[in-house]
Amino acid sequence: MTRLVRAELLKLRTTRLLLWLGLLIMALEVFVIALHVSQDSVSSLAETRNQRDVVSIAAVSALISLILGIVSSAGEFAHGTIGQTFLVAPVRVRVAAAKLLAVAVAGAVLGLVACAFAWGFGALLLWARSVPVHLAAGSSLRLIPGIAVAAAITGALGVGFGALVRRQTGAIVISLVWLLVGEPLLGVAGVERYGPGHVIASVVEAGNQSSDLLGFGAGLAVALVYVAAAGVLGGDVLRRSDIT
Amino acid sequence: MAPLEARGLSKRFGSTTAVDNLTFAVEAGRITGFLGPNGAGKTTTLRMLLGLVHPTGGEALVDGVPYRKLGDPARTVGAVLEASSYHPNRSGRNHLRVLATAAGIPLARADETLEQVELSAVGGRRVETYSLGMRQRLSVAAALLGEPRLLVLDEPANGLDPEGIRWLRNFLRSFAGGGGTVFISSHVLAEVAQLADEVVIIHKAKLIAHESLAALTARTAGGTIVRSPEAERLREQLAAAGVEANAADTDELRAAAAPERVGEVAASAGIVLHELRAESASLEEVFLELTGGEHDEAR
Repeated sequence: MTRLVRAELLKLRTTRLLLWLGLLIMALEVFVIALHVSQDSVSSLAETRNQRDVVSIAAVSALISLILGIVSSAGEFAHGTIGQTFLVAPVRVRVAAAKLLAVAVAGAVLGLVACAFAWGFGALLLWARSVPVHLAAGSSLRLIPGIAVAAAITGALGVGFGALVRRQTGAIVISLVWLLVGEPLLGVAGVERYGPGHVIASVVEAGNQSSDLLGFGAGLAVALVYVAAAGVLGGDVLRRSDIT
Repeated sequence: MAPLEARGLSKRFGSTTAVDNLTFAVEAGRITGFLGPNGAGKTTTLRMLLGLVHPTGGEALVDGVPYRKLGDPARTVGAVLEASSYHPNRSGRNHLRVLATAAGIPLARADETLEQVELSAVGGRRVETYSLGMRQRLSVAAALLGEPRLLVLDEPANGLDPEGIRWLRNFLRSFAGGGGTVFISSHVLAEVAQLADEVVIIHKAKLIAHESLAALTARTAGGTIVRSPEAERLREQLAAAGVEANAADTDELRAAAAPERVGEVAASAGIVLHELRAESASLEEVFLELTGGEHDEAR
């Protein structure tokens, strides 16, 4: 199992996918942080709560990690590499589990890199506007493990979902449509806080929950149930699939 | 125990029967060609043997067990599937390293196999920059990573230029010469005729022949070529004995009987023979005869 995880990590390191996704996160952070810091007043920016909001854009890494997970599993079907993968590791469920673990690790790293960049760039812009920097405050720092754990979870979720759908573009489109359209509709029944997007947000918030989110522990538990369900269903599809 | 065996192997995709009750065993240390027109079921059969497609009936065995139960598959069997199955942005060397890592094979084997297939100079380049022939060689390198004694190749010459085909032929001969077993599917008969010791032929999902190439070409022809200075008198004697014979040349006949029977007729009539041999059909002729003329050779 260890060698399969190492092989999956090597796969991630030997294409430009991680690099491009990392650059995409940084580009989004530059845009949002610059907009936020330039539009807000100095007095407002001086508040710890608002500085926390400035860097919370790093949570976009959880969404990008979801895409990483989808591409790393469904992409094997797109490129036809799944056949060679199963030739060296014919017990397919092990491959699925290794992929899930590897992408969770890569997702967490992506989350930490996103935080490091957001904190650095945010501090630079705040300093440039002569705003006292409070990014080391507890409420801001708690975002870092929250984002790293959330990105790990969404990466794993993406692996399971990608294996289930087997088409990377389709899986990404379905995920985005769900987050933008499907999940808000859960609000009609008053259960949106249990939706995947909301439970991930509750993990990100890590103790700074608003009323429409589950607590950190409950959110983490429900998120892991989603990961387990996607992993089991995706693994079962892989196990039963004919690789033609 | 046969290195590769199909026992009553069948596969249905919906209402289509891709492989129907196929039974054969590949002998160790030989090159066995797997022939059939496009769509005959060759690729599906190979993928069932390699554990990639689930049979709907029968068994596909490698060293006596289903592929997924092999303890160390990469060291048991090397497979060459489609040449296009690569991540385009990964280098050839890294592609091999990924497979070696997953199989627990030392990473140094990646460079060794690249050298074996003469790709060392381009190992660091992204696969998207490779020609089809280079990708096919990379597939062979991947198959050799675990130094297996069995190679399974699906249409390996597809898209190769003449130099690439010659390289592949020499490589497979050398592999088999070292005691390795090769099972190679193809719809290009000339390619297999130059390589194989045995052939397995399938047509419309069913097995129609499995024997040595020599026996198959002799059996299917079934006639005799005979040369004599008295060819016309021999033809009359053969006709009187109930054996049909046609003049192939001024002193040569093609008789529809075994050489023993033709020789007996000639001896009893006191006719001198200059040559007497079993007629041997080419593999292409055999194939056409067995498949009812359905042949789609690309080259």
